[in-house]
Amino acid sequence: MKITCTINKEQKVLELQAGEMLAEVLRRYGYTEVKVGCDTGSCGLCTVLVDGKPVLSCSYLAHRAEGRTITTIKGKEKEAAEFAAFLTAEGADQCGFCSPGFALTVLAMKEELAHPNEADIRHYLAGNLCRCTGYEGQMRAIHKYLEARHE
Amino acid sequence: MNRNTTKNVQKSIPKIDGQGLVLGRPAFTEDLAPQDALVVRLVRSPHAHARIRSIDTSAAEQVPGIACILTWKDVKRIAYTRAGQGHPEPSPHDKFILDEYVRYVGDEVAIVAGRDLACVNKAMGLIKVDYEILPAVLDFETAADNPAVIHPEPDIHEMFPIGFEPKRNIAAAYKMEVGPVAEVLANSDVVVEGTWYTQAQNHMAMEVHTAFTYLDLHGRLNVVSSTQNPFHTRRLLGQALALPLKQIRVQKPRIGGGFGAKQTIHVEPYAALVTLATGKPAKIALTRKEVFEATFTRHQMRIQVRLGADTEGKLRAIDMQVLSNTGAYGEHALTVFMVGGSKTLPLYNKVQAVAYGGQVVYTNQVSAGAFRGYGAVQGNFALESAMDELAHRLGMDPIALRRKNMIGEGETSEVFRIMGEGSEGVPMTIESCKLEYCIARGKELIRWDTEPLVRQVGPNRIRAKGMAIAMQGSGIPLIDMGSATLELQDDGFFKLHMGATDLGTGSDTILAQIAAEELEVPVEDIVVYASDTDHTPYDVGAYASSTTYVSGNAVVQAAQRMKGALREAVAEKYHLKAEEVQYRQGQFYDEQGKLITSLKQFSFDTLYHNGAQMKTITATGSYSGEKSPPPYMAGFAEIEVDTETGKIDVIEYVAVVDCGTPINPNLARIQVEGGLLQGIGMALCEDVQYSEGGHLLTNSLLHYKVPGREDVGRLTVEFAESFEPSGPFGAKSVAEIGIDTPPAAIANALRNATGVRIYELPLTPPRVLRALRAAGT
Amino acid sequence: MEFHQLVLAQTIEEAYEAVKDRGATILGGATWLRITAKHLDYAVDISDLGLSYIRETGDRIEIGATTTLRSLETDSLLASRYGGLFARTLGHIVGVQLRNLSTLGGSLAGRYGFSDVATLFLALGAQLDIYPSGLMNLEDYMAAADHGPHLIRSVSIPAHPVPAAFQTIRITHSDFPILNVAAAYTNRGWRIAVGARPGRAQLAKSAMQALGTEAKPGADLIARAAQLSAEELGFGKDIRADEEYRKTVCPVLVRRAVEEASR
Repeated sequence: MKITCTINKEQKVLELQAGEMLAEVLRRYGYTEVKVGCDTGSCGLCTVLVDGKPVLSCSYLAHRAEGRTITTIKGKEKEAAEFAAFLTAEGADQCGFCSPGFALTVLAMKEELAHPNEADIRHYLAGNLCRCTGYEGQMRAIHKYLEARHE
Repeated sequence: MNRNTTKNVQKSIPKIDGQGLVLGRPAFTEDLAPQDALVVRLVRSPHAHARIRSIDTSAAEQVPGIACILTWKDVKRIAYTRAGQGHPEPSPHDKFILDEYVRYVGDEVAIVAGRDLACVNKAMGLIKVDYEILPAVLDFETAADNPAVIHPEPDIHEMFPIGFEPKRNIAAAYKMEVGPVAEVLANSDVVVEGTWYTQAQNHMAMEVHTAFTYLDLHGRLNVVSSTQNPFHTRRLLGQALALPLKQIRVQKPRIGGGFGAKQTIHVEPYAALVTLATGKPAKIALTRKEVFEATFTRHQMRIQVRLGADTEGKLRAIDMQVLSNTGAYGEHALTVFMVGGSKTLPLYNKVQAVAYGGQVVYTNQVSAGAFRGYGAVQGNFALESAMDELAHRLGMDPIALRRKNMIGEGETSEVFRIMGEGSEGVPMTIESCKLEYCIARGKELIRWDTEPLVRQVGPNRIRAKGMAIAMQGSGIPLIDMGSATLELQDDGFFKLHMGATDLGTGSDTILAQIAAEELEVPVEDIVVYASDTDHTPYDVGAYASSTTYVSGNAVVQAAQRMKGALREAVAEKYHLKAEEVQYRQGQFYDEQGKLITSLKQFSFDTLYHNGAQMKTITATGSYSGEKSPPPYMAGFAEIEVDTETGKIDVIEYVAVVDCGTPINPNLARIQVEGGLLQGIGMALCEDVQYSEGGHLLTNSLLHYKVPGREDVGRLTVEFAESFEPSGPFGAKSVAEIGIDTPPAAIANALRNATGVRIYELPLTPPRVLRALRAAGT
Repeated sequence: MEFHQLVLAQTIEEAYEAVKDRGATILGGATWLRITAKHLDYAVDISDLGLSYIRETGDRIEIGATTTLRSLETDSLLASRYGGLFARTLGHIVGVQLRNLSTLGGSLAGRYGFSDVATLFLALGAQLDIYPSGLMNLEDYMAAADHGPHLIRSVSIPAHPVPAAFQTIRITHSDFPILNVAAAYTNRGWRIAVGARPGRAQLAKSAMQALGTEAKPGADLIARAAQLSAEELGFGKDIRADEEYRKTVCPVLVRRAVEEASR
């Protein structure tokens, strides 16, 4: 089947099989920034925004993207680069495999939560696993990023 | 080196690949695979132990799009090891790419390749395998001399004596004794004994195991793989495929984490066989389920410790006897087992007698392999738990007990000389050890003296602190070697080519910092290319905490030789003697201090203007350490225990680390923080579990729990001021030390909180509550 | 997944027909389905049926079946009546990205043992509006083995504030529960639901009876009720814990939930 949607501000027609998940389809169309880290919707690496909301693209039925706006980290390049500067300044980018999904979720969190404290941030990002950093460096980066934005 | 004036080293510069990675640029193996590559998947055994009577692939072969299907009859039978280690490998050569026998649930049965995943999956479903089911060995404590023999085949072997007795299900064995341990224990005022159990653990690197292969223009096999050891992979592949090494190229692109999971050959042989059979590119990516079921785990261990001490708390003897479970194949069997002792026992070097020994057994379970800590974390759990028990018995402060017995600068331990990795070790005098500082500072940070060690914070909640000390190594002396080559480019910058393997840790970055520091140029003038067997010089790869120390020293040597070569070349052009030319920060001066030329100018001259004297200026450094200076740390856990549910929460974990000079303090800190959380996971929630039939129950993230963002409180990491004279700019390595202390520190905190000691990991709520109830608390 | 046939239902009748006549599997969030099902002969998507809403209707709050769990956490109407109860209960479920997909209807229709949603809604006295049969208590829905072809259209809970609390024990914060408990003081008295036993959520009726309509029960009464809950319910073993652990911790969680709800 064919669906029409907007991906990173570009209108796209996607060919897909009924039952396919959005992550597979996106990767097939070259959106390699969408990573797949598990088979069970448990890790958050595949996070994309659908109509602005962060979802697991591995668990999102691709046909439902019809008429919707999908954003990967590449669709938020300027904002992502801003946050990336804080992440890399901590050395918390490490292997980078969780980073695109994680950074996108941080950007979504920034829109959704007004003044999140440490616990709020950890809770919002609980669905983004990282095995390299122990989360601490990522948290340092987020606090500094949010502080800088509020100045 | 004046440590206050380094320009590039000790600087927390961002990783050179950071921005690109966060923004999702294609950089990982799967991103780079050719679009037209055949998709490769594996049919796997559903039985823990079986013989393949027959495989019928006829229906599968008819599926449109299928390019080839290979079974054990199609593959040359060559015993090899998958372990990423130097030659001769200390691991037995007990694996065949495909075999008539399968030895664990998940073992490879058939390779299927086709144009897309759909046809491959369809074909896999049509392959009919007839198995003769054999009795399986599923308990490592009854594996030795079990009537069911896992490796009866005659054509497997050890590369040198490692105690390999496969007919007894023993992959390796070892023992050593210094001084009469039994006698000293018998004469000790106090003896503490215990048996500790550590579980198998999964690495859960966020990127699954992937590789792709193709034949290049010259007909050579090219392998691009998510690997920690490109050179070992080339050698081991060459062996397993009976291909000359000159016909193989291995490259590592960006990889999504290793932690030892990829210190092996893993999926490369299957893709390689498909490419060799079809001439086409082939790619393979495991599912997460396959990574759990069919790659590697940490070695499960049983560790019996006996400590003998006098009433003043002076340790007299340590006896450690270990049983280790290496699973279906013997990768890293002996060496992980050795490190269980070699990187724990030297902490207490003043004993009169020390013994270490035991066996590594085969079972019909997932093969165990390398995993950060590599035996040291298992040994540390047992030894540091036993030390705390001793402190309790003596009525002594556990920290005072450590201080009384632990190793210090200028000292040595017999264990260094005796215990190597696979054979004898290398004697070593410790030139840098700041354990005393680490403990003192850690105590301050966790408020050890200024707050009660144990206090009730709610009707059923107790908060308490516990600690442990640890050591690791910096590469394997006289076995690990790394090289680096520098080449001057026009415009005065340098190519730095190294075999060293960046797993995401940032080694490309810190090695560039080291080169820049030694060459006295900005780090931006070092362009790094690494981990390509065709283009970079040899390096063992990223394991054994070798990169900073071993590869770093190679970079220093290369840079020193580069400066020498530059001075010679400048001398030649300006008709001086090399000794008369001085180099400082990108400029060349004569003996009077007059400027001769600049690096930038000379770089053009040597490539374009110097006529017959034009040459490429290049220098290579190689390093293999004569010692493995240990990083040290003191770890302190503050936990809260819910005595009605058994749940342990880590409120804070403090780590004070001596890794010599941190080349990049941010990256060093993150290595420790990441290691801490993996250690906390091992302590509290990660558990590889099997069904009675040997099926892995924890084969997804639904059931294998790694700590999430809300599962830990504060991590506080600091570094001691320390300088290792044998290390690059005083550095030791830092990659593994972080993981070693949490299991013991947390178990010790629990003991302090409740009076109950638990000897098994992980300390899940059911295990803790059962222990509390049994003790009547 | 692979669907042999996919229908995007435009009316509830169409969806029901697909279930009844073709054995179609209903696609809610499909987040659990996606893990457990590889191939479906017939799938019916109900996203277009307008069942994502939360509204007050008389003395109930009605929640459409395709309302996401995340919507429940963040909805201001629910927050005004139940405080942070939904956020605290549902916040354990994997992460925000999953909860933006998983639906209330899907969580309940699955009657999963691990469901925190079921335990909470059972304690709140939820009622289901089922097509075509009509209203049914969640308790009866959970208890029955098979309902035949049906669709959950919406779920209703009391509109007035209900003192309630949720307690759980899990190995990690976002893991499946080893056990979960919800206690609610409704206008008909206490309701206590225990789930992940590992079996699906059930009401602890003797415990509820012991507490009766006492809004602020004393410590002894709570302890007795908690003990009754452990005695009357069945517990079992799974990969996370054995029967004994669950039986031991059940009264602890029941006690804590009732204490919290009656504060």
